[in-house]
Amino acid sequence: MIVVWSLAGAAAGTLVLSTALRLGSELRLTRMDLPFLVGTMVTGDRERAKLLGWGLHAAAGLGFGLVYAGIFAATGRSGWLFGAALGLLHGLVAGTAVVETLLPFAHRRVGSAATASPETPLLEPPGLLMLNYGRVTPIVNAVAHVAYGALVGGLASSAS
Amino acid sequence: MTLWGALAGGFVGSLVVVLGSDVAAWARLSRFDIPLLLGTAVFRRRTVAQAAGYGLHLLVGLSFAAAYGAAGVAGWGEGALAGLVHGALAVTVLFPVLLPLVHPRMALRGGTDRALVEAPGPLVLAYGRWMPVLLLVLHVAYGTIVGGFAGWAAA
Repeated sequence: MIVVWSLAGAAAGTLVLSTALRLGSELRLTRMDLPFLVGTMVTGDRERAKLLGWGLHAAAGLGFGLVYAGIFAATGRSGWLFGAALGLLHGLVAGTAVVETLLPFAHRRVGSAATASPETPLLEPPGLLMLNYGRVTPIVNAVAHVAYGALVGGLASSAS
Repeated sequence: MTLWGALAGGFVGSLVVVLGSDVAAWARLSRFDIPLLLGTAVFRRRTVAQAAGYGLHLLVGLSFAAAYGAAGVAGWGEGALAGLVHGALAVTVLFPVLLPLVHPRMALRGGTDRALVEAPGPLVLAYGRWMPVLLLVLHVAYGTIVGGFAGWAAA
């Protein structure tokens, strides 16, 4: 049951996270666009990248819900607070190790510090904590991930 | 259940360790790059090595957590103590002595053309003077999380 409730939380959490990021973008707090970032990993077409990226981002949101469910099941603990703490770690790791270590390997359409001027990468590299996308980006990212984690943890605790 | 709790702690603890190490590097307290150090033992290309090293570090973290679980470590305090011992071993033996023995692309072995990473040196001081303290703190944090999660699972 904890898996089903965690997935329900992940579905709600992904919606909240995507909306929070979009809102942050509309309010000009950040230029970060995670679905576009994910979508351009598989296609060079901007419009298709947005659509595909949204689907992949939603799938990743559900997948991370399963990881959270595994942690809740293994420890026998869940709840809003524990979920929020995992969400904070999730957001920080995404902003540091993932963009610094995994992205340059997995993403061929993102620029780097060594990109020459005749080349036209689709995306600017995010930089540490995605600070290249705006100074407030780490805060928007952390808040969105904490909300995601709290929803997964909170709904998972309904299973017990 | 204690073992599963320890493994969940190993997963979360490994992420905390990489995060702490990244923050320390960003604050210029160290030049320690765990994914690069581990990944270059297997791959030559930097981007591939870093990604693979990240996965390898996660596997190492899970293996140590399984060892903690098998040793019956449970509870935040016990975990912190085990982490301190683990950290002391890492600072004195694992990184300075064992890693250079198995790492094929360390400056210590062979010509400089093959070397991709610097040898850690005694007490890992080659990567910065704060390295022994940093490694102890990170391992205590890791052990505390592994022990705490295992304790929750046992309760």
